[in-house]
Amino acid sequence: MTKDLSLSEILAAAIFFALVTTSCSPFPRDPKESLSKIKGGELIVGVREGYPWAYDLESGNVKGVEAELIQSLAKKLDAKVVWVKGSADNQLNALMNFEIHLMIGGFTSQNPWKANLGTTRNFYTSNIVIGVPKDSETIRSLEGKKVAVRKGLPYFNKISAMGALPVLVNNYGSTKMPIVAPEWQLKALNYKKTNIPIAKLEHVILTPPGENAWISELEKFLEDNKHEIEEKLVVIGGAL
Amino acid sequence: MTPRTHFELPSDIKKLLSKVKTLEWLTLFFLTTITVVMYLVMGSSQAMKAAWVEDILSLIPPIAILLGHRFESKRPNKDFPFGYHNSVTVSFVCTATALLGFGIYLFYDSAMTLIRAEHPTIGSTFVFGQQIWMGWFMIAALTYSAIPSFILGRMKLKPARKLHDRALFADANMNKADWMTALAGIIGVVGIGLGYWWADAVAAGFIALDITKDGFVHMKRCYHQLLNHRPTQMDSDKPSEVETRLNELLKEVNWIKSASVRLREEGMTITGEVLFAPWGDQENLVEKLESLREQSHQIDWRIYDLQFVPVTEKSISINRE
Repeated sequence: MTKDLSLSEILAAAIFFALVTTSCSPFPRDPKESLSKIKGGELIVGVREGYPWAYDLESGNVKGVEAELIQSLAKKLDAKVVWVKGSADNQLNALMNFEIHLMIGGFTSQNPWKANLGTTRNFYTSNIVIGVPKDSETIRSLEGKKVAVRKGLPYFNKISAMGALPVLVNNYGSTKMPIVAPEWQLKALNYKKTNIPIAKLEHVILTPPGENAWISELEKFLEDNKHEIEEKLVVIGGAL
Repeated sequence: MTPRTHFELPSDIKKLLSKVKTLEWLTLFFLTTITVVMYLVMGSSQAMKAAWVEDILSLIPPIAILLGHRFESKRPNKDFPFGYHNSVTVSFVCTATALLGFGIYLFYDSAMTLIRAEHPTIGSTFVFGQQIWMGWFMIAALTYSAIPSFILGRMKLKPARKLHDRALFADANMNKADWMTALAGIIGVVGIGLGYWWADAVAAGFIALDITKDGFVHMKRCYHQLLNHRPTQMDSDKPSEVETRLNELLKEVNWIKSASVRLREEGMTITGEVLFAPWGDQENLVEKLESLREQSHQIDWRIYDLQFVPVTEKSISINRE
C-alpha cells in the first residue's frame, strides 16, 4: 500500500517541516489573535470575588494580588485594563467566547471549567496547614482539639474527619486556638505553622481556550514575577 | 478420547520462535515506556490522546502472541485432544474487537471535538528558567513513539513470513505503521501552534481511522481462520503452495486412483483430510497409508496430522463439483 520509505527520511521531513513552519513567524499563535489585540489596546479582565487575590470589585479599582499583577502586565503590554462587571456565569461564558481576555479571583487547578476554558499553569501553590499562635506549643495531632475555622473556608468537614472539633469564627485576629489557614496567612498573622497538612491549592488564571500565544505570554509574566507573589500575599492577605 | 500426536517443531523453527519471543518482550518494554511518556505530555491534545490509546492497544498483540505461543506448544491431551493451535487466533479476535471499538469511539470523539469547535490549550513550562512550549515536548514524545515501533516491526516481518504466523505478521505491520500515527500527531501539534485549532482533531480522526482499519483487517483474518478458510499465502489470497505440492505427491501414488484434499490452517500448522479412492482392493492398505502419511508430512514442516479417508471414486468427483 504505502511505499516503504526509510524511517530516517520520514522523521527528517517531519522535523524539517516543524522547524520551517515554526521559525517563519511567532510560534505558537493565537487562533483568535488575542495577544496582538491586547498589545497597545485593551486588556479586558473578568473578576470574581476571591480575597486576597481579587476584591473590592464595586469600586471600579479592583484590589488584590492577582489584580496588581494584571495591572503590571497591562503596563508591560502597553494596554489599558478594563474590569468587567457581571455575574461569574456570564463572565465565564464571555471567556469561552473569546470576548474577555482572562479571569482572575483565586481560581485553582481544581476548577470545574477547565475542560471548556484555558488555564495557565500553576503559578503559586498554597499550602493550607494548621497554625498555632507564636507563643503556644506546636501540636502534632488534631485529635479532640478545638480548631478555629473562618466562615467561608471549605475545611470544616475535613477537620472534623481528622478528629478535631472545628469552631466557626468570623476572623482569626483574636483567637488563641489553632487555626486552619494558608502558610502565607500564618506568616502575616504571626502564627507558627505545624506539620499537619490540610490541603494544597494550585493557583491558576483562567483564559480563553486555545489562545496559546497569549497564555504563554501570561505564563512568562507570572514566572518572572513569582517572587513578588509571596510578598504581596503577606501584605494584602494579613488582614483576615 | 485419543489426543492427536504432538506437533514437533524443527530446530531452526524453534530458534526462530525464541528470537520472536525476545522481540515481543522488547516490544512490550518499549511500548510501556512510550505509553508513560505520552501520558505525561499529552495535555489536552486530541491527536496525542488518540496516539496514546493506539499505543496502549498495541500492547495487546505481543501479549496475545507470547501467551499463544506458550499454549500452542502444549501437548494435546484428553480435555483438548486437538491441541491448542488456535489459541492465538482466539486472543486476536479479542484484539480485533478492542481495536474496532476504540477506533470507532475515538473517531466519534474527534468528530465531536471538531463540531463543538473546541480549541486545544497548550501552554508552556519552564526548564532552567527557559520558557518552552509544551507542544515541543509533545512532538518529542511522538517522535520517540515512532522509532522503536518501526524498528521492531521491521525486525518481526521476516520471522513472521518464515513461521507463517499471521498474528505476528499483523502485529509487525501494526508496529511498522506507527510512524504514520506519529507523523499525524506531529502535524496536529504544529497545526495548533500555527493557530489552526482544528488540525489536532483532524489528525486524531486520521489516527482513529487507522486504528479502525487495523481492527477490520484483524477481524477478517480471525474470521477466516476460525471458519477454516483454505490455506493461503501470507501476502495474498492465492492458495498456499502446500496444497499444490500435496496434490502433486498424491498424483504420483500408483495405488491411488484419485484423491482430493481438504485443508485448513490451525495456528502455525496446516492440517486436514485427504480423500482418496484406491484402485480396487488393496493389500497392506494400512502400511501403505502409514508410509504415504509419513511422506505427506515431509512436504512442509507445517503439515500436521493429516487424516486419510478412503472413499469411493464417486464421492471424490462429487466433492470436486
